[in-house]
Amino acid sequence: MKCTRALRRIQAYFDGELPPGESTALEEHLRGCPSCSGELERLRDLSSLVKGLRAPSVNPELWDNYSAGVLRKARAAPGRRIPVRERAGSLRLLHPRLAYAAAAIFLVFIVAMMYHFNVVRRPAAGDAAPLTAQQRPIVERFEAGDLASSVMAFAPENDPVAIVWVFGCRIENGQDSGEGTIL
Amino acid sequence: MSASDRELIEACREGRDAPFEELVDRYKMKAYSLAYFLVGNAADALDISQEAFIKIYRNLHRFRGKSGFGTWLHRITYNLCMDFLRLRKRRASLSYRDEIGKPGEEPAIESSGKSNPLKGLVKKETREMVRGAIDRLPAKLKSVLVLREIEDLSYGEIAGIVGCSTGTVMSRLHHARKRLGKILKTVVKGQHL
Ligand SMILES: [Zn+2]
Repeated sequence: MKCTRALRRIQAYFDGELPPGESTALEEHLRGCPSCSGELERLRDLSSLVKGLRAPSVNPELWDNYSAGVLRKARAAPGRRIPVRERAGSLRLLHPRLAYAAAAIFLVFIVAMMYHFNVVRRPAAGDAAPLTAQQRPIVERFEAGDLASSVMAFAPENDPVAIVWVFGCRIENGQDSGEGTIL
Repeated sequence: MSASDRELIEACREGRDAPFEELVDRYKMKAYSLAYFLVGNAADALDISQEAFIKIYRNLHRFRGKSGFGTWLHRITYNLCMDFLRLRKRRASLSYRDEIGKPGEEPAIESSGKSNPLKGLVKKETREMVRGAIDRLPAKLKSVLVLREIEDLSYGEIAGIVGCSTGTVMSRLHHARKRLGKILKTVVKGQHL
């Protein structure tokens, strides 16, 4: 057995995962190769440092109430997520500005698609007159005070449809994110 | 004679809670230990281990028993830890909480090989260094190392928990050991790391 072949097998051998036939051949190589047996030694030393590590012991009182605590929480409100402290407030929008950019791109795309599929009637050829204020679709933005969320509405004047986008939301303590202004 | 895991699970499915408490008592240390080495602190590890049991309680009807209860628990604990680590990384909150554990008790490192120059006891500081070094490994490498060396699981069991092939387990384990050796080389003397 060559060293490259032996080296590929040493870890599995050390972990007891090498088939017996291959183990015998490897052992033979290791007896005559200080370099490869040094590699095995290295694995042993590292393992001896890690193997005996134990998680710190926990206050026995915590253990006494542990299983009862599990049952109490498991029975409470089935399907509800159990709050881990670090998760509180995880619904907060992380990058409100990115959401705005995405919203703008998405809006352009939707408007283009609506023209493409004639959801919004195209002005007839030769009709060069600009749209009046009455004819323009409403595209408005509702902005919450902390840039955490935004709402956009699109409503063509002559069609009984309106499309509303809500980007980002923030729910904290069951309350909404507060007042906003129509721009 | 104590009931097998399977018998306890059957009893739980009949709606009884006492057998579930027995299962929890049997495996709570395992779940806590795995979570501790994956997330790096005792308080969060306790929270996560409890959450794992809650998940199990609500999904007992799904347990098919193809792999053992222990493997199932490990898989759920592992997934919760990975979620937790992703969230923590995203928040870049690296502040470690105060340990609940009692540092007074010092479990000795069990020396395995005859060639081990440590001959038994390893100082508390060394253990802290090793634990700190493990904690510095990327989550994917850290988990296979912990599952192999501390939880003493086979490549196949690890693959089932982590959700990859045994080949990937071997490769990650190899890299984890290489990197850990590199980190420890500077701090632990007299070892061929
Ligand atoms: Zn060799």
